[in-house]
Amino acid sequence: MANEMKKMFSLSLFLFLLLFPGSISAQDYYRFTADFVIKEKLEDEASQLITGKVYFDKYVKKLVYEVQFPEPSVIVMQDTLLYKIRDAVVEEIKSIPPLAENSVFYQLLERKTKNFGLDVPGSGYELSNVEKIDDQVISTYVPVEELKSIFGTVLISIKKGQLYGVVIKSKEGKVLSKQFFRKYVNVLGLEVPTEMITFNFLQTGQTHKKITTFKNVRINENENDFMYNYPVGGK
Amino acid sequence: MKKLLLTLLFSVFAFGIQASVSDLFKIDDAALSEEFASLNQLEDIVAAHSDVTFESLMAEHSDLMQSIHLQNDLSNGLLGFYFEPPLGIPSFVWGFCLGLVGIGVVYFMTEDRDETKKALWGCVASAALTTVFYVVYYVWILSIY
Repeated sequence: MANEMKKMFSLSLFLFLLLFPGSISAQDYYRFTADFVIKEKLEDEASQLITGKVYFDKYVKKLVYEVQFPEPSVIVMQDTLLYKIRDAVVEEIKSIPPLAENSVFYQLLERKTKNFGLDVPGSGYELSNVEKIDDQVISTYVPVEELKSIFGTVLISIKKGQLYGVVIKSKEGKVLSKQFFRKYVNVLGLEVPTEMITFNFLQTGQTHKKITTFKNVRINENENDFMYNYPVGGK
Repeated sequence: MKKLLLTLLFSVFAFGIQASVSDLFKIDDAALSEEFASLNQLEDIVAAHSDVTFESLMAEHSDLMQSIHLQNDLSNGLLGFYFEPPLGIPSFVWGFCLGLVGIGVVYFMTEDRDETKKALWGCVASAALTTVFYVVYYVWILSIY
């Protein structure tokens, strides 16, 4: 009897997985945390180093940086405000664009990184060409007619099914920015790049370079609720 | 022979295009590593000492800190280039030159109220100038006839 039950269960599981293969990957990814290091080479030979831990919960929509260096502090980005907190005292409040919802962490958890969000209706871009070159699949997105006089093309490279690079050009065809996403790790079935390299080519001819690395990536962490919903502005 | 030449020409042309597109996604790791060597060194120091601060590093590793001109601007570092107006063009100019479309571009690209306001003022300034121009123009036309 027990054997028959086992067989029935195995058969049901097999049929379920056969009929609904997407159900395995339909997990809701809602929290991201990792140790981060940001290294920047700015214009005029200046540099920047920031280290710490980042927390993001896509339902809470607060981007929380627990900074270790250059000074122990907490940066919270919520809606259009940035709060800088030191020793539990809000030192500074700045008006910012709503970065939390547009952050790479939100895109990652929503699994929208593959085409950099350009394949979403209303993105202002449409796919014009796809070509396979060596181990990369390079897609070219062009702005819709109304935006052609303002924006240039965007090229996206996919390697091994993962977003590898994004090149943003001006309408004159000049490269404005390059971003690379590398060293992916698989955490709970989610592919997370642990190295992001950005080059911004400034009008002055200088290049702004930024390397962001993540370590100890955790997805859907059940602890540290306080950090994911760091209290600011009475919320 | 002609066919062969055409094929060769086409191959060279196609290869040239492919090379240029894939070249865009090439990254010189050695050069990058060399350029970030001092920052990597600093990163190691910070990783090894959890209580290290900008000030303590300045005191203990001033040569290294000064050689890389380390900044202590935390919030701007985390924001990156998000604060810049679209394509580096001032928001006022977006509104001035493109009117409502310009305001729309600034709003959707930056989602920043202050930048959008600047674009709005650009649009208002442009409308005011256009109105003044047409008033002067009509007065001039009327004065001729």
